[in-house]
Amino acid sequence: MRRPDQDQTPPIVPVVPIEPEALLLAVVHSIADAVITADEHGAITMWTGGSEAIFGWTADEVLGLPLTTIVPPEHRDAHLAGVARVRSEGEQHVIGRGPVTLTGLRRDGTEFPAELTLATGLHAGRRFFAAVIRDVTARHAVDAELQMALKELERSNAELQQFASVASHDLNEPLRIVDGYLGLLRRRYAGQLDETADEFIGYAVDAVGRMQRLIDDLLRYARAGAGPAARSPVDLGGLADEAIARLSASIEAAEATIELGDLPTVAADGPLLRQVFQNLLGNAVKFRRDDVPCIVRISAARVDGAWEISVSDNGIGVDDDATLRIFDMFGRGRGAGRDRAGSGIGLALCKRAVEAHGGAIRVLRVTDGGSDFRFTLPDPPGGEGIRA
Amino acid sequence: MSAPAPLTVVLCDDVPELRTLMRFGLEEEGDLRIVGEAGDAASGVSVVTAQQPDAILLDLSMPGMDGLQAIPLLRAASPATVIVVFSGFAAERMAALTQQVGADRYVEKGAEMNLVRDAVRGAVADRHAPDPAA
Repeated sequence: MRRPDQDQTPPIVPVVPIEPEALLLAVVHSIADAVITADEHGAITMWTGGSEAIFGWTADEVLGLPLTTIVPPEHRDAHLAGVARVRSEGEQHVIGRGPVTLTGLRRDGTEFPAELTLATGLHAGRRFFAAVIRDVTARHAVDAELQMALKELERSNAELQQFASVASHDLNEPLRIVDGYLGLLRRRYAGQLDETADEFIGYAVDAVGRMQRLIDDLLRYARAGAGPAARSPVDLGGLADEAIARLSASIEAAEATIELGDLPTVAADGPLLRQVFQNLLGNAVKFRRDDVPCIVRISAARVDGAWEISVSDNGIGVDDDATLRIFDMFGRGRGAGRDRAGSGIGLALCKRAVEAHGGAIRVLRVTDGGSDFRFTLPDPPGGEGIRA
Repeated sequence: MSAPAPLTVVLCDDVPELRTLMRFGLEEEGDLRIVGEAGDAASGVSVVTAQQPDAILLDLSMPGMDGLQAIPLLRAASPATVIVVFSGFAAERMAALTQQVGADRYVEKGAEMNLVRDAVRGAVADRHAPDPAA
C-alpha cells in the first residue's frame, strides 16, 4: 500500500537542455521576415518559414539555387556585381548598414518592395551571407495612399483658394453695381420717394453689405488654411490689442470689459491670428447676456509643449450639442439669430487658422454659463515658444 | 466770372451698367464731364487718342487687352491725359504695378463715389502743378 503523503510529492519534470544553436534556429525559422543565408557563390543555404511565406518557394525547392532566383531580372547584374565586390573586397556599402530598399521577385513572377539588411561573415574560412528581407508592400501602399491624400488635400486647398479669389472678385462686381445704383437712387431721388421706399432701399443696401461680408469672409477662410502657416515672431498681446481696437465700436456699445492677461510672443502668422482674436472677441461681445455686465478675459498658459490661449466670457454660452458644430462652415449656434450680420464662417475660419499652425480649438462651458474658447499653438520644431 | 470748364473724362470698363453708374456718379457735382466710353482697352486707346481728355478711368480686368497693357499705349496716345485705374483688385496687390507702367492713381471698385471724383480731380491737379524737380 502506498502512503497518501507520498502521493502528494510533485513528479519530477525532466529538463532537457536545448542546444543554443537549435534554439536560435527555431527562433530564426519563426521570424515573419525572410531570413536567408547564402554561400560565397551566392547559392541559398538557409530558407526559413518567413522566406517561404514571402517568396512562395519552399526550402526544398530553393536550397542550392542562386540568390538571383529571388531577384528581378533587371536587377540581377547589379546584384551579381555587388556579391562579387563583397567577395573580393569585403565592401561595406550595404553590409551592416540599416535596411536598404530594393525589389524582390516572388515565385509567381510578381515583384514587391522590400527592405534588406545584410550581414556577412566567415565560417570555416568560407564567406557566407545572411539576409533579412522584409516585405514592405503594405507599408508602401499606406504611404502611397497618404501621399495621394496629401496631394488631394493640397489640390483642393489650392482650388478652394482659387475659387474664393475668383468668386470674391466676380461676385463683388455685380454686387457693387447693385450697391452703386441703390446709392444713386438714394441721393438723386431723396425726398421724391416716400418713407416706405427709402426703407426698402435701406433693406436692399443692408443685404448687399451682408453679402459683401460673406464673400470677404469666404475669401479669408480660403486663405487661412491654404498651407502651413507662415511663421515669424509675433507678440500675441499686441495682436489682441489690435483686435480690440478694430472692435472698439461694438465693445463700447456693449459696455464690455476686456481683461487682457500676459500673452507670449510666438512664431506664427500674425494677420491670421489677429483674425482669430478678432472673431473670438467679436463673438464674446456679440453673444453677451443682457442681465450682467459683459466681461471677456484673454489669457495664455503652457500646456504640453504648446501655448494654450483662452478667450472666455460670461455670455449666453454654447449648448453641449453645438460645441463641435459651431466650428463647421455655417454651423451657427443658438443665439446666432440675433446676429443677422454674421456669416457663419467666423469660427470655421478660426479652426482653419489654428489648424494651419498645427493647433486645435475647442470650446468649454464656463460654470456661470459663459463660454471659454481655447486654442493651442504648439511650439514649432526646434524649441519652445519664443518667450514665456 | 463763369465756373471753370469741367474736366473731361473717358470711361473704360467692359461692364456697361458700371459705365452708366460711373457716368452718373462722376457728373453728379458738375465739375467732371464724361466725353467718351469704351468697353475694351483697344477702343479705350482709340477714344483717348481722338478726345485727348483730361483723365481716363480705366478698369484692369477686361477681355482682350487688359488695362495694365493699355496704360503705356494710353500714355503714348495722349501724354496729357491722367490715368486713374479703377479696379476690383485690392490696391495692395496691383497699385504699385500699375504706377510702375505709368498710371497716376489707383481706386478700388466699391470706394465711395466722392473718393473716385477726388482721385480724378487730384490726379489732374498734380499733373498741372509745377514740377518740384524742375
